Amino acid sequence: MRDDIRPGEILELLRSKIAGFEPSAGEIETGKVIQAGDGIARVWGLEGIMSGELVEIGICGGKTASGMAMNLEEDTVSIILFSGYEDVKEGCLVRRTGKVAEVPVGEALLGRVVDSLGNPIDGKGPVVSSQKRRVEEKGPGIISRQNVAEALQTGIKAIDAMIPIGRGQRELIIGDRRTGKTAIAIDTIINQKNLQGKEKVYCFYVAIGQKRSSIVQLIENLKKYGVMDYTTIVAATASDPASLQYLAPYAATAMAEYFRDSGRHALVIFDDLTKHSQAYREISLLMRRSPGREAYPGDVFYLHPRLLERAARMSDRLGGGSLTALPIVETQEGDVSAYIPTNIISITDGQIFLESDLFNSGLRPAINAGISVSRVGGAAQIKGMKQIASSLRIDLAQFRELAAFMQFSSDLDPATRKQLDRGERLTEILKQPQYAPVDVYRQLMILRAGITGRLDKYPVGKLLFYQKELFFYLDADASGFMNTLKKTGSFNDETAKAADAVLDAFEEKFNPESAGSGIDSGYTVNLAMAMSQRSSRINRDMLKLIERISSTELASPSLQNEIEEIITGQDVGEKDRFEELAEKCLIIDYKGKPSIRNVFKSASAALAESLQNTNEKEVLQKLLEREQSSSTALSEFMALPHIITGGTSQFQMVMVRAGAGIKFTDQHPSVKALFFLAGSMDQRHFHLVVISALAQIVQHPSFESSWTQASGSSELRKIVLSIRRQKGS
Amino acid sequence: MSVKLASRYAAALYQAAEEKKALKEVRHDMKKIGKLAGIRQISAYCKRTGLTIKNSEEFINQAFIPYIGNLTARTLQLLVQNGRLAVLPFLAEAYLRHEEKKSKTVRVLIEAAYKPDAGLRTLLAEKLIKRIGKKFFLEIRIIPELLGGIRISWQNRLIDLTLAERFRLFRIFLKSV
Repeated sequence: MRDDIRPGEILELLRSKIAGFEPSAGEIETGKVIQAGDGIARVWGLEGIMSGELVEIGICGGKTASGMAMNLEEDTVSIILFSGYEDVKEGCLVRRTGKVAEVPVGEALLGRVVDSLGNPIDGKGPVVSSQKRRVEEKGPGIISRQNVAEALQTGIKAIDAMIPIGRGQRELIIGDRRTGKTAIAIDTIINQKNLQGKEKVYCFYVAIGQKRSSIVQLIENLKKYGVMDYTTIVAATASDPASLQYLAPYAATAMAEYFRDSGRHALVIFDDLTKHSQAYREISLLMRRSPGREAYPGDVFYLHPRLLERAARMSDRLGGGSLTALPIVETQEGDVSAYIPTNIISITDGQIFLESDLFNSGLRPAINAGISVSRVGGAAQIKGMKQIASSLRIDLAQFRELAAFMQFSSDLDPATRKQLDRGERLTEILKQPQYAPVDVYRQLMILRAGITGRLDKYPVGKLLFYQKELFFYLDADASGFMNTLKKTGSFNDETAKAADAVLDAFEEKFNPESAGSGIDSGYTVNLAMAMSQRSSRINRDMLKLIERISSTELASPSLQNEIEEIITGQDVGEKDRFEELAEKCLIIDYKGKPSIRNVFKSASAALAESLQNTNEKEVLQKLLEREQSSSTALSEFMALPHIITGGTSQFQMVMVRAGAGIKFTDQHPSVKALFFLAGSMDQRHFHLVVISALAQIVQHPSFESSWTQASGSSELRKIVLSIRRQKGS
Repeated sequence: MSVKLASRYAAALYQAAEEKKALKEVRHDMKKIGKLAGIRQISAYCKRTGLTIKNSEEFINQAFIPYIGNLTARTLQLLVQNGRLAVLPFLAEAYLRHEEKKSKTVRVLIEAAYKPDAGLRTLLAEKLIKRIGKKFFLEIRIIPELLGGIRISWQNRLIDLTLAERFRLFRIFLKSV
């Protein structure tokens, strides 16, 4: 490679570039810093400065710091500093540049990570771009726009079907922390991967006030899915000055506008505008602007509208390009009526509302379809999806209404049961893991199967397997039909018949019983990860693991926090109670037939003896049902079957050693340690304490060998207690 | 607010100095005050809230009064009595600006790496009279870091023709190539 470098050519290139260098020797207006601190400098002089104009401030060592004029007062100008703000001192000379803030734009930015001023921060060298654009630009006028009529597919079934987003739309993603807001945005970027030519969407992700580690992780993920080629990341991290955090979304929008104005399509994700408004609040307070509600300045209502107004679908005369904006807003305790959320809701074309309790109950993406809305996206939906979506919305609305009503009723008529079953199945097929966007035509097929009642005959637990198999089938055996569907984009009589024929043919081949062993793979992966990190006292995977196993009976919006408190020992109240339980509980050294049913039967008998208002048969039935819904085998060695019983103030545990090993699933053929738990609903918290404690105990490196070699019941009890005490200390 | 107040006090002081024909002395005092107020600790002390008049008086009596003339000293005492010590750091700058506005002459600062010869000074004088349109007096400062060329500043205007500035611009230009 080195031989290819010709010094002569480089010299020639530099010479030609340098020939164009013409230093200006004009008269510059100057001022003096009279006060500096917290990233703000007040400058005396600069009488002719423009609002938003960039300035250079001479600091020690002949270096310069840069800043932007924000407040133009009678005698002074307040400057927000972008760099070197620690070195700017009173008396420093400030020079006007005559330029307002600009950033480089163009294709050179694709695949790059830049700061709010367009400077590269990814170590890949300078951004070679000849064009620049103003950071603050007015949104296109009425004549320059046209209606949103083209879909921007997110690849997320629930969104594309029920809350469709059009190119040029502003759709707010709103929800509490850890509800999957960023995940939706990232999946949307990933879903643009296969678009080519005029359809291609250029993506800009703006990280405002985030941790640098989170941004690195995000970039790694985007690289992993091969989408950085058409993506630019504008990062203003938590450690950057508030001025850069304030500028970041405007800079990214300017970069995206380049594509919009050249007849192409761009997508900007602002993650998130809550932090952006906080950065603006910080700047405003430091500049002594009058604080209003929640200490935000009066013009906070202008801060985001002027940004989001730049999202538009341009008229054909102006090239027909588009700029779609997906602002993200974080709420506190689901409060959408807070100051900033209401402000942004009012200026967007709809919102996707994410809920913590849906997220914790395993419904992901955790979209509340009832209150999420897209005001203009319907016009942009492909016809086929429109046909499907109307039935889907009605079915789900009826389901929600009935489900709420059914909490007060026990007897169900067949029609109601059918509607509930349908709703449950539709909800199930709308579940989707992260980083797995689904092509819109595949979405059409699975949703069609759902709304036409084809899925009613399968158990809910088999539907994701049905979907997976269906997608394989569509790719392998129905590619001809899929091509036709892509061409027509809708279900007319002919394609509807053909679609039904394809689904019939698939269902003939489909065997729901072959759906693995009933244990979901994510659960096993979590377990493997948790187990592999035995040395750590607590890790995220372990949290997820316990959350997962507990979610069915013990779910609550704060489940994760609760488990975290238990594991980190913040919750000391129930610690002694676990030891008391372990000291008193029955231990069975099981030597009988190594089958689940038999071992469950023995444990049920032991549990029923000490529980009130129940009998052995009922306990066994509940244990088996629980096991059927998802396996309670936590590892190849250990299982944690647990149930909620009636009554109050009761909780029992039975420990079982099965020397011969019990086959739970194909992946767990020889489980030797079983901990049966049964407790009333009022003991929910203690239930979680026990699950967490046991999950910690079985992670101990010596547990498996000690458990296998123990001579009898008392030694088994000692093992559990001694590991517990070690962990506790 | 302090800047605005400083302008008012500076205007009053200028008027008094003009009446007493003490403009030269006061300018001299203001340069001293400017230097002292430029010290971070002094500036910070002046801006402190909750200072009593007694504390402020002791402070200016020790830090400023022994080094300045009567007229300026009386102005500083007035500042203190009115509880406006926070204005002090801005007073010198405000005074010099006001003086330049009022007087028919402008102070032009020439900064250069080497002392300009008589020929260059004459040439500069010819050019500057056209540019500024007022009488001016030259103040020359030698700054070796400028490498070569000159930097001319008056009021809030600057023309930078130094080699150091050309290098700086060239560095920015090369970065963008």
